[in-house]
Amino acid sequence: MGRRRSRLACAWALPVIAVGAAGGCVDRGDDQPALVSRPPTSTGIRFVNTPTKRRDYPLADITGSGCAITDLDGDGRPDIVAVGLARDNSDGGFLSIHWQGPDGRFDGAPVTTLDLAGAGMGVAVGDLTNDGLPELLGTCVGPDRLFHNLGQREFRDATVESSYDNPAWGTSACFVDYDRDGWLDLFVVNYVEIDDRPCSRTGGGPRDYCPPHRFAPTIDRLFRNVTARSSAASAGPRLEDVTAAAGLAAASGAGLGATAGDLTGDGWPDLYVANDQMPNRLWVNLRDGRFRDEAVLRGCAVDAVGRPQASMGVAIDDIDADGEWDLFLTHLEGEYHTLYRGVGGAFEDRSAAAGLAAPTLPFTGFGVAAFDVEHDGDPDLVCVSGRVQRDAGAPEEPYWEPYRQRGQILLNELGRFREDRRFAGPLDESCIARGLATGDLDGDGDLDLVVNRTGEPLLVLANEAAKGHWVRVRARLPECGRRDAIGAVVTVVTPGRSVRRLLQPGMGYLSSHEPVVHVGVGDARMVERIEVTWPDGSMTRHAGGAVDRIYEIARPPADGLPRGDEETGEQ
Amino acid sequence: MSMRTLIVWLAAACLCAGCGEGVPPVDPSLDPTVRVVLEQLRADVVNHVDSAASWGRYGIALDAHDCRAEAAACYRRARTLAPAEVAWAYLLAGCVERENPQAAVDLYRRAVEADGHAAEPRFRLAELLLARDEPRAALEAVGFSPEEPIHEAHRLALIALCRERLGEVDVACRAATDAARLAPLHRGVHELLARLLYRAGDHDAAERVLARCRGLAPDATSWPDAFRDTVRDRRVDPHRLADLALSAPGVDREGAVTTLARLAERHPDDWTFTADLARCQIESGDPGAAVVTTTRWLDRHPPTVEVLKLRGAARLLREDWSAAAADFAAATRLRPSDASAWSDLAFAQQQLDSPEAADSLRRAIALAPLAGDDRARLAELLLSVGDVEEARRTVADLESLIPGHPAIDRLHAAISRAGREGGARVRD
Repeated sequence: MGRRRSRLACAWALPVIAVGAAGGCVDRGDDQPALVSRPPTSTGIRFVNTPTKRRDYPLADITGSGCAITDLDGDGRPDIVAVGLARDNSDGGFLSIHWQGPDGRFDGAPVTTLDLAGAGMGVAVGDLTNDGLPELLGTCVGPDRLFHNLGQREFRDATVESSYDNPAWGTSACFVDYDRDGWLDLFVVNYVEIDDRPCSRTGGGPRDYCPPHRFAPTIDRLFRNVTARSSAASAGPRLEDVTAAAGLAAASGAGLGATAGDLTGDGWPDLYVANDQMPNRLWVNLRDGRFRDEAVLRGCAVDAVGRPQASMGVAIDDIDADGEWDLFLTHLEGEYHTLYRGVGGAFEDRSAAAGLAAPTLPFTGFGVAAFDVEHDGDPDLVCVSGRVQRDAGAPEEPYWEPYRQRGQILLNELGRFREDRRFAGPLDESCIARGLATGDLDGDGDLDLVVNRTGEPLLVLANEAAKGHWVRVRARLPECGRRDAIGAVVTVVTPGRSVRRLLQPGMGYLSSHEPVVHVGVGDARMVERIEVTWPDGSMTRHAGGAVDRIYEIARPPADGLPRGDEETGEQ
Repeated sequence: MSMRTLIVWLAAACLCAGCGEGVPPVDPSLDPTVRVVLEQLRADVVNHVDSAASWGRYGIALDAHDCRAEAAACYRRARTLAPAEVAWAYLLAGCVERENPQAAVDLYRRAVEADGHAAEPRFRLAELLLARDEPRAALEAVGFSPEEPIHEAHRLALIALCRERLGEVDVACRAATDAARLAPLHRGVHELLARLLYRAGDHDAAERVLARCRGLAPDATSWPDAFRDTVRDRRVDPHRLADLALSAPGVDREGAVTTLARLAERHPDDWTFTADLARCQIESGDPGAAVVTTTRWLDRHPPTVEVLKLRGAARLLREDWSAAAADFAAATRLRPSDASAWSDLAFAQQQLDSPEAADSLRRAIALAPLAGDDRARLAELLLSVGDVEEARRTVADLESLIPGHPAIDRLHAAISRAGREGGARVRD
């Protein structure tokens, strides 16, 4: 571990700086928390996730909503999108976009509000039109809405004109170029076919939120991007529902988490679904437009003793640095959060061996992110939690109190995890946390967090833990409007260490992370090389260079010669 | 201590025991029916404070109604009074498992020691140890002799899991194969076998086993547990009573209707009881009564999709097409994502010769792409209005998505016929 550094003067309000210089740093004591809360007065964000109608126990209220960190206006500063369950105590949710200004605050420009048709659930971010401006998908209880990014902080509801049609209860979604045609497609998981049946802990006893098995499961949806077929120059996104043709209608589930990545090692992205109290699904890409669920065969459907768990959030990362992707899922209390370790294209539940079973057992986990919190070179796990049912005898007032739980930071120490509550700071305080997104909000090189909490203001947490050095990689596709190369695999090689990360913002729970690869490199002073395996399977090798900086790497054109603005560069 | 003081102390102790001090109280927020049962059992404990059975019975009833902390206190006391009784240690372990897994492991060990023949404590202990990544200890806990054949699928499945974790995939495969043979309807054990065969490299066999799994009930993954069944049986839950009335083997429909009517009356604001009653009335061949039941509910409450759909179904049976269509249309307005409501609406519209039937079917298909019958119906409908081309496309989709659908041949023949007739008309 390198000498302890602090961050760039740690001022939230400072202008965003792309290169994190090593100077001007002071030591951070071990007893200080890693995460520091940035209150609304400091960020300018006044968002509160107000539930729908409290006394009716609508399942959406306890399922909660997500958030995203992403640069929507192309000014180089990540903005924040928070999903609201309901506006003005109605049933209609919304996306609330908070634009980050040059001073690092989010109240310099008016908040953009995009209305949803039902209680707000998730947000997914991806550029469907290859113009460099990412679209927004808002999922909700009812028909989802797709918003076309017109630039200049303007959005248009493109749901109907794009032929995006998902009337079910949409939850998590992610963008993925599953057919490798250079256009991002859209994968959306749905929860259950909800009705308004009353549920209680003991039949006719006190009311509470219903478990998912009371309702019919639903199918997930895959939309192929056919924007290229459109002849109109100013056309928005165009999609085609290929759910049935792709084979995804063959199995239903109560989907809450979704992500995509090449989990089988054949170079083609697969789809993974975290199902609530049902076996998870691994839709293996058959490379001809079809998918087949192989979660059972490949060992990532159920836990170590063969039981389906109540899966909520999901993250893909190479947790044990063995070159294979691992899956980490958050679950209901009484079930542990599960680490499915990748073994030759299959998976094994190694939660206990990794020290994750016991510390996560008492928590109902939702949002999750795998990233290197303290920059020591290996990915740690951050989970946020909150119950879905009250304990027996718990008082009905204060209403939300029995559902509150604290979050956790699980530090990776050579493949075994250890919880350090002092480290967690405000994350250690109980709340009903659901969505969690990561991104470098203050431009100091480490990843900050945004947490969407039911009934409470959006929690913005600055990371103060970083001790070692870092590298960030922005991988772009010049031939696709310089959009982010979602699905690319970035390997950062430093002396004695190689760290592989997947560029897939659509992970966790109902949320979307900043689409920039972040790697902690410990006390390494130099990056030997950076390799980017692009979504089409081609590879670019960058010569590397200094640490504590952002590398912007563009895929070279097919002839292999860099062209003008597409050159690989550094910031 | 004087005799007088002793008497005072003894009297105070008796008084305390009589008051039920230390006996967990009944949660006042519970359903009144549940409270009555629990209060009776609590009184029994108060009257027989030295009876392990009384404490245990009260504990089981509390446990059945999710009062785990109170149940644990009762089991603990029962265990103190009757340490040789395996049930109390086992059930107590179940109560503390979530908060204190180590204590649960210790308790399951005690239960195994108390009765080496009881399978459940061994199996649960093994599962916990497996989840803690202690496969060798788990294998030991499962308990078996290599010389004796094993006739319990659960034991074999656990052995397979332990062997897999120990890297002995072939041995695990053999154990799982035996388990699958002994439990042909247990989905979980077949999925385990499929995974092990896949790991062993026999992908074809794995696929075959997995194909068999698809025919098994999705929730057929649990094993029998006599101790937990005792707890489940104590649950006084009106929904459970309704389920029992509907699903009892050789169900007496008349009796079920009476039970469900009583439950619906007792819980007038819970539409699920009305829905159960209406469903039972329809299944008993009395759709008229179902219409009355559902209408009574809908007149007094905001419209509920399930009740509207049931009334619509009853009206379909009575061939009251317009009223049925109105119910299903209302259901689709309330829940546009309900594929079955769109499908039933289409049926009613078809009977009314409404041109909207095709659109309703298209909506149902979009929501449930594998609904083969709806695709077949749409093809038939399209043929009936002379749209042979779309009918052909619909059948092609049906064929690619559900190759074995029984309507395919018939529809192909109808399309050929329609094509010939269309061609003849053109020639004429």
